[in-house]
Amino acid sequence: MASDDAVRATNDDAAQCKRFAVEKGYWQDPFITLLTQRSQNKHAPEISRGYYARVMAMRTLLQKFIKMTDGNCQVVNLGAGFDTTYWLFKSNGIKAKSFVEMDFPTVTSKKCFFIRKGEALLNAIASDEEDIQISKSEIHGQDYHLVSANLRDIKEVERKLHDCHLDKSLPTVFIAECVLVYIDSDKTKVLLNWITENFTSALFLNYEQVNMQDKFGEVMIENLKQRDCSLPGVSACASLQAQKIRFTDTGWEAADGMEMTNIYKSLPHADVHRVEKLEFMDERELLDQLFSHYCIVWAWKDPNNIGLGSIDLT
Amino acid sequence: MLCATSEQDASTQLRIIESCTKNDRVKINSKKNEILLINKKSKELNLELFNEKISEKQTIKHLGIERQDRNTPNVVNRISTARATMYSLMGAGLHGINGVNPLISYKLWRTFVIPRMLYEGAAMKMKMADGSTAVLRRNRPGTKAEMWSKWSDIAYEEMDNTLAVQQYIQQAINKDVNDVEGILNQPDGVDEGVWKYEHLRQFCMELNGLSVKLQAECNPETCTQMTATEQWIFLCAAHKTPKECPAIDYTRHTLDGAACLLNSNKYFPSRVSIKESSVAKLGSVCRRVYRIFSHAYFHHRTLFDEYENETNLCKRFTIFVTKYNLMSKENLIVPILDDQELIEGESEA
Repeated sequence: MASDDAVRATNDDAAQCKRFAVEKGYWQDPFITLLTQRSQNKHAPEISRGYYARVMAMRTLLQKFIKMTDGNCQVVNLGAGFDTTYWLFKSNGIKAKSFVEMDFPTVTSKKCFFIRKGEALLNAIASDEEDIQISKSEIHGQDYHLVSANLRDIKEVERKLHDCHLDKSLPTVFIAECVLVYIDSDKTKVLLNWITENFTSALFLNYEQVNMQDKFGEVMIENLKQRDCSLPGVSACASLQAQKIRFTDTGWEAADGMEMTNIYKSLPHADVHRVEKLEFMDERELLDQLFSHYCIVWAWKDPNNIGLGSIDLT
Repeated sequence: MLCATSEQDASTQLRIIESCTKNDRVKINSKKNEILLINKKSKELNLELFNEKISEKQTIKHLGIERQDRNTPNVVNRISTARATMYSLMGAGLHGINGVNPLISYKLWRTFVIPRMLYEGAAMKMKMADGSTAVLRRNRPGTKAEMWSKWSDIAYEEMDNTLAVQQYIQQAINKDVNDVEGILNQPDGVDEGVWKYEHLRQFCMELNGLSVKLQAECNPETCTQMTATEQWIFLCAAHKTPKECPAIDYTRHTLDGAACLLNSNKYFPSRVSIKESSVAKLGSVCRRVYRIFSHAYFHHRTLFDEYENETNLCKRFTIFVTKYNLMSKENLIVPILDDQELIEGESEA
């Protein structure tokens, strides 16, 4: 599928935008430079600020989950790309039992290559207990696993997660950032169903487009189409309600979510102040529009009442 | 000192002395000589040196060591000699605080103190309290190949030293290396942690044998990385940053690392009782050293088969880790047991 390549390219894009923002000082991430080359392009301040809000909010939610479970949990990042959260968290002493990153083999093989080259990245994965095991596109360590799979193929996902020796009775958080929108709605349903059927306690953090039925959304879809990137899952991005229903329809106990507009307002004010001084912005209109078309939705399944329902951004 | 086995022998030797001293114009004080008859009923001896009769004694002091005619050790005396030697060396710095380097202390102690304590023992025959002769289970320098480790078995309950479990395991291996079940059969009264620990220790020792054989054909040019099946490379954990060592280096480094861990004072200070948290370390040692088997099997099959025929080591290891749940079945990728499920590809984590 030609469009799969385009989807993979969105990862390179995202990683470069993140690196650009990190170098501008939006947030700290010593590891992103080890996974990406410096980008040729300059990115608009709106883009950097958008990534800032997304990264901060996702990290806050994930951190709350790990704290709540006291580290006795697992993290599965679906379509992880060049995400650096594992290394950032580990260097700050925030650890989960297992951290799994899953993506297309073309993406994971690049990540694999960078990790093999990057001493700091390898050192974090190293442990006394377990040797690091590396293939062309996969890595297994004691608490870190990088595996390749096509999320549309549930059998493959299942097999690869099995290789990571996940404990299905441990609280597990699944993360997807602009991933499900590229997957056919039916296939997403199968995936979300599979999670609730197999894992006792689970949380899902989904960062994605929302309110896509207006003019802005149309333009975005058109733009992506021109890059050969179709959005077969966009129907779930019609509204916040549609985003939540996607989860409650597939065995999740409940779901909640916020548009980025509100999430941005809930971020720690002092830091937001600092960030707003980094780059001059003519007008806020574009940023507001961007924020109103992205959201974070979190859904949970918590039969043992460990408190997954209380995780939020306030 | 002259040693002789008969009166005539002694007499001959004395004549030699007489003639030698005459030639060299040295004089020996003929009044100071003494005879000690060892393990013989005392009888009148007629031995003379320069026409002076030599008298017979029951104890004789020679080079500061007292010898008795019964040739039984005077244990109390020996210990006090050793102690006195220690004291006399303290002036030279043989003491714990502010003394010489502990390594030097140890050398001094080994060279001067121990021999003086054991000197007499060198000529002694070991005897059990009940009078039977004890079997010394040692391979001394000069032991012939066919006599190597060929001593009689001893029951586990009768092994009264701190290394009894190791002794028991090695005895079982020597008896019949093919009797894998028998070797792994845990005797009553052995702590399970110790049993697992001692077996793993033994495996690591014997794996050194395999690695020596591997050196002949597994070289860094051909086996540039540690692999079993083609898919996975294992990074060597012996370095500050995990490293893609050649297979033979991985093998050496890993066996070294295992030896370090199993002998570490921190995790295994005792071989009689082992902490639960330390027993938990054994699984990862097993997973690491197993890769040596799997590499040999997949890349040096002839060599592997030769060694396996001789030792049954991989078979014993596989049964061992399965029996004590130290490795999961899917990690055991060398098909060595008849009923072992063959798993497609390899998966480990």
